[in-house]
Amino acid sequence: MNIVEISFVVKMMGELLHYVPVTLALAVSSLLLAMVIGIAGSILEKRGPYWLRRGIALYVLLGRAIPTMIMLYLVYFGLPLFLLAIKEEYGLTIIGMEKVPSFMLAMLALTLHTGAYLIKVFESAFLSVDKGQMEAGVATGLSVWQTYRQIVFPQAFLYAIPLLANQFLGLIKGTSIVFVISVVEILGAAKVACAESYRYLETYLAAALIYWAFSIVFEYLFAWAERYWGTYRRGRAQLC
Amino acid sequence: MGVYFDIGYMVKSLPVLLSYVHITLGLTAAAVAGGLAASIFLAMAVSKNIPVLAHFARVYISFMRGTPFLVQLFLFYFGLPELLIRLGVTAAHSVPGIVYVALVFAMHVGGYGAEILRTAILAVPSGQLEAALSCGLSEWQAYRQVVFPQAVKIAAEPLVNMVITTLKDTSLVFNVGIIDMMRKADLLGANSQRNLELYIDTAIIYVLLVLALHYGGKAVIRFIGKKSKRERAEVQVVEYC
Repeated sequence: MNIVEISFVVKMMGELLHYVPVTLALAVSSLLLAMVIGIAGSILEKRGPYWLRRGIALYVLLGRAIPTMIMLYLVYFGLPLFLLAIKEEYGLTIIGMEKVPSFMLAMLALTLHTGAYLIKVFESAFLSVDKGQMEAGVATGLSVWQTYRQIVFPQAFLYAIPLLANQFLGLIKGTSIVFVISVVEILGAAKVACAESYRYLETYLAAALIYWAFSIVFEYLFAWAERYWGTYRRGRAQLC
Repeated sequence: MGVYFDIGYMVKSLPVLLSYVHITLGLTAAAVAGGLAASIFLAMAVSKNIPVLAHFARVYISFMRGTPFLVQLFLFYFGLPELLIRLGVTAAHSVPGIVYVALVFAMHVGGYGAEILRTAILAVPSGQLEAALSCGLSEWQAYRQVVFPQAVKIAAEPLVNMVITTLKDTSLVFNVGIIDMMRKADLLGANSQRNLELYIDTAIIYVLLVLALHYGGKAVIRFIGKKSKRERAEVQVVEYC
């Protein structure tokens, strides 16, 4: 017997590739939802009422300090209990507590975790846009919301792209913890396969290689996108 | 409210979970110490472009940064003993699990630390090294006395962040059977069916630890900055003389 059986690693990779869509769906959906939190949170943190600003600051602190694993458990154990409490106290059934799929819980936990980071990302992105842009927009008769949407946001978003790319790569790696609440993604599938074959070395190696390939491919893609958008940004600046 | 959430139980079990905090802290310390040692070696190999070592270091750094820590943990915790036994090292099974975990953890931190140190060394102007060498310092002296002190100041903040990330990653090691706060919360929860309270406890402990590291790190960075001011003052005094 070879020390590491390459053919088994390759076969395992073929099997694990079936679970790539789960990992990707989890990462993409969490990133999109977290972006909503990030954009709304960073604007409200500047312009919202005092209590909301304090609340957002607390969320950012906790979201970044609590490990993702604990966040996952808090959602996994907390949300059904919360739904149950609402149901029994007020007679409201939003969605049955036993009906929430694990995938949704995993998505929610990853969103809560990433959202806290993205509030910081968009905060710095908005700061990178000159204050005069907002003032000029309002002075020409646009509302604050219009100025945000049409003038400030497009510029801030370009600045945020590389940081978002980093978060996305982190999220792909972060999805590997969700097997603990029985969502079967790449690592979860590898664990199941291990229980059958007892070949831990080759199976986990296959999983690691898939994640590694993902990271390298996306890193190149993002580097390319950054160059592409970067020239676009420079081109715009010259026009002005 | 009491039916769904028992604050009394939460407060009561906090000290129980806190009694396992030394595992978390010990693992963090071991991982950071081992990881820093490895990262200095790796960063030097890459930045001095030593033929074979630099290639190895680049692949190693890419792997450690490109795969999830949990996958690395499983791969090495389950795979390494298997590999050693296939190689004929039968003693591999008698090594306690926490040794493997500390090893993987240090290797993981080494990859991240190497990238931080590499960019920090790159950020020191190359004239510094050249000037030191032309003054007659040996290469080792030049790195130790001129390049590293400046690189450490540049790397200080990302390194503090790395330590905090390492601490947060310790919440994953219960997956391979290490009994830490997370595992204890799991075990207690199996009895009491009050998992939420227990995990809120662990969250509180982690948040406090992260805050302590954050402010401690800030103090260290300030201290390093102060020392550099004093050094600058000394240089000025020497120039006056």
